[in-house]
Amino acid sequence: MVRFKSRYILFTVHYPVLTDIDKICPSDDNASDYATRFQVRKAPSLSDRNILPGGKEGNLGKEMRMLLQRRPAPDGVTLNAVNTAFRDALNRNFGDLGAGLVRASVSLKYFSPATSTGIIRVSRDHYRMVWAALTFLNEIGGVKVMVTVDHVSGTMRKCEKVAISKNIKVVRELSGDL
Amino acid sequence: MNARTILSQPSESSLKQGQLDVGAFVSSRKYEIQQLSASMRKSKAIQKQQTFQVVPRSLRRRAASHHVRFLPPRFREQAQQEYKDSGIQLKPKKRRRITRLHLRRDTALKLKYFARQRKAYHCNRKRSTYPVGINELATKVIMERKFKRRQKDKTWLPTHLWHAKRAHMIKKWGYVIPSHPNEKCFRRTHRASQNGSGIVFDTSYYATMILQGNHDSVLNIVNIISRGKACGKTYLLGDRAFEGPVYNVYRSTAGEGSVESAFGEAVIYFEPTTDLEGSLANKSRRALIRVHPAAFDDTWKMLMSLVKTTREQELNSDPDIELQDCRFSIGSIDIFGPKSLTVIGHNLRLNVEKDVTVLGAWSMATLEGDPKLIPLGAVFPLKFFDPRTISTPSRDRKLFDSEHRGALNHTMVCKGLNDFARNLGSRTPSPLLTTEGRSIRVEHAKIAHGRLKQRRAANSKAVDATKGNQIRLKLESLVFNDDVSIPAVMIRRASGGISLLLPWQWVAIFFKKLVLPAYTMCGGLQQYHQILSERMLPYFPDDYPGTSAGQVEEREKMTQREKEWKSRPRSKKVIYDALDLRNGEKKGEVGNPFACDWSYLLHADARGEHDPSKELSDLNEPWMITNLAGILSERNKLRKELNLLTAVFTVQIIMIGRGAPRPGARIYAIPVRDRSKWMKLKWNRKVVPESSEYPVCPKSAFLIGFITSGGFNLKEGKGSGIASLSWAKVEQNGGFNYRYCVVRDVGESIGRLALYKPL
Repeated sequence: MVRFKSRYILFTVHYPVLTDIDKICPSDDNASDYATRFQVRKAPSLSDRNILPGGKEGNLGKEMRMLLQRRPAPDGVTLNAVNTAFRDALNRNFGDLGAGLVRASVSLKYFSPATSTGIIRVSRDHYRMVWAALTFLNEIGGVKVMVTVDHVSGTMRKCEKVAISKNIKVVRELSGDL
Repeated sequence: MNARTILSQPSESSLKQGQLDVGAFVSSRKYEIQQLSASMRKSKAIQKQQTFQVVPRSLRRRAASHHVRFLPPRFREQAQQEYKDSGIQLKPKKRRRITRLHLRRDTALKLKYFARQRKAYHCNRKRSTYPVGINELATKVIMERKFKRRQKDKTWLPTHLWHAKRAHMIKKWGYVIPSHPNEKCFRRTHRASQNGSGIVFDTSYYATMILQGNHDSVLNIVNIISRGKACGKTYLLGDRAFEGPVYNVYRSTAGEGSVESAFGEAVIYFEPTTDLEGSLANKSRRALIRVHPAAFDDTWKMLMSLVKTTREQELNSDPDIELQDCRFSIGSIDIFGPKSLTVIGHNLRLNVEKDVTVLGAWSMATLEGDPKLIPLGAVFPLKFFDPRTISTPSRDRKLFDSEHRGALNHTMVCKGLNDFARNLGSRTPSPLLTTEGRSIRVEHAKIAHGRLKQRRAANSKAVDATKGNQIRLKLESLVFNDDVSIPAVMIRRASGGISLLLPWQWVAIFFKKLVLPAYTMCGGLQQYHQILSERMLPYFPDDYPGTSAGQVEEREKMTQREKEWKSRPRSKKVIYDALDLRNGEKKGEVGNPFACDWSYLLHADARGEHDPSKELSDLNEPWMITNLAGILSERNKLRKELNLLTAVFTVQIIMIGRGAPRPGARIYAIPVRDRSKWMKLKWNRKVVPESSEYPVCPKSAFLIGFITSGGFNLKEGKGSGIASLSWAKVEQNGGFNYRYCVVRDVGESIGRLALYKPL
């Protein structure tokens, strides 16, 4: 009796074109914490080049870039939108055959608009196809996106653990070096 | 909602009208972390683990999947629910038709049962003492009379029934001893004895003898058998127990510097006395001598003859001197592990006869229970209450938290131990050493349980009396008139563990209480061996080839290995005759491949040829050097007197680099011209046995000894072992200062570099 094996893909959605963030500000509550770092700089000009992972820093500081790389989703990018979008991508890139192969086993297990992180479950045989579809994904709910895959593993737990460790890193960097 | 859903925040919380709020960004990340962790926890819980999967591995029983009885009590309720849920068919009680014939049969059975009970009651009333042989060997004790027939030619330990269900038993030295637990536990043993809660052994198979007579004559005899080492002041006062070799008096060829031939290691404990001044010569004195059962016969014969001569000698004869064989009246439990004292203090209740300072000191001492804090050989004569009448919180894991340890520091604990020892009156002789002191009858378990209930009731009454004032009296402070007090002697051993000597009839009860909480592990001979090997200490009898017990053991192992080898098909075993060592010698294993071939080592001629039919006779058997440094310094003088050709000495072996030597591995000295080649290996890890640079195994003329115990040492992190080297061969091949050697397993063609260190 063969076990059903699946793969869990942890992905992050990036937004290369910034339309809705004008500036980054510290929250009013803990003004002292982030004030020094963010207020001193002038409001930077945010453009495509600066934000993408791997792009030049330009006039952005490291923390800024980190924030923007993992920024919360703009309106329009919700769980349902992501769901439809990537199934569409599957269909468009791999045709009816492709979409049909995975339809039963693929599912979006988690997506958080606050952190733009999500976990997709696929059967082990077709995870590369889904990964490719994610790569080709251009647009979700009208917003231009780019999807990177952070981790693939056989259990949900491992993906969750990796997500947690990435979050911890971000939190530590942003608030830890105070 | 599906429990597997992970909650998420909408993005509005951090993204408001074009402003990316950093603080909210961070908090949304934190929220996600929380939710993911929660999801992980929930999914684990939801996996619907059945109760019997949660039970620790050592407590699992197959029948527990359908019988609640086989689960530990705390799981039973939950399990009942699960059986119902999963629709398991519980075995219905068999009901038979009650007919007159049945009734008659039942009545007959009942009558027989009651008759037996009454008979046992009368027998037991007499039987509170266990057999002691005075000047003759004791008759062995039969533990469970129901199983009398199985004990005809072997002796069961008091805890036999407990061990038989949980360990693989072997018959050794006339006893049935647990060899190893049913589960695999190599790493578990290491953890239990090094970091964890402890590992407990029933060592009642150790032979105990009590030498009783005039102070002078007892001292004299002990002096002779230990060559004076056991007669120091601290030993005579009874503060410390001596642990060391016991010598064979009769293998002396000359008066002084006689052949040191040891029987084995013994623990010698003088009964404490308060004063050593004054004329002690005629005061009665007792000395307890404990030896391994393998060495018992020889030691007994020797002691008996010494006793006989003392009794009949003309000067200072002591007609009342006697040697008691207490093998079956004094049993013992050994405990290893950094928390041994805590285990004892927590599960057994000390009877301190209302001396509060001692109680305080005892609690302090047992809080940080590492026996290594106790000085070597320290002896505590203790008295315990019947452990069944005191309630023990069974799973107080808090005791074993590391936070506890941080709170105490060592000075406090040492002080506690000192106070304890001082106030305990360790100078008073323990009743354990007398027959009367030991004969405390064990009550039926139901009666003991009744006392426990009595205590609890009295305790709650006392609490009520203080009107809810939360002072809970310690149960041990409630002493009833009919409470029994069991004498015990606790000795801190050289191996780093504690021996608790008890009357034979109480061993099983104490043992069960010490092992009851599942965190204490119980072990067999193999585990004892493993613990000693990890601490690089020799284990009797395997590591003592210079004693007759060691030789017997080696012979048994040899026949066992040979038998196993012969029964295997040719393609599935190492063919020793075809072994090519690539060092210019003819093919084949050096010496008998199934054993540490001492006759080969000691009696092969210069070419390495050896006549295997030449048996080891009494004259040329290897004998063990116990005082290497002494002999080294006076070797020229002693050479004439001692037969150093057949002397062996024990060393510790530590591998440099890879390799874990197995027992029987051959040890070679490194020929001088190869030394640089072998030393290169020490620094250059890239030289691997397959490469051409790897030095070839030395020739058999360089053989100096064998490994008697060896394996991978989890404490050291590399292979290690205990070996015995031949004095003559070491001297021939480079002397005692160059300590590097090559160790080659039997059947292997690769030798590995190692370092030896004499013990």
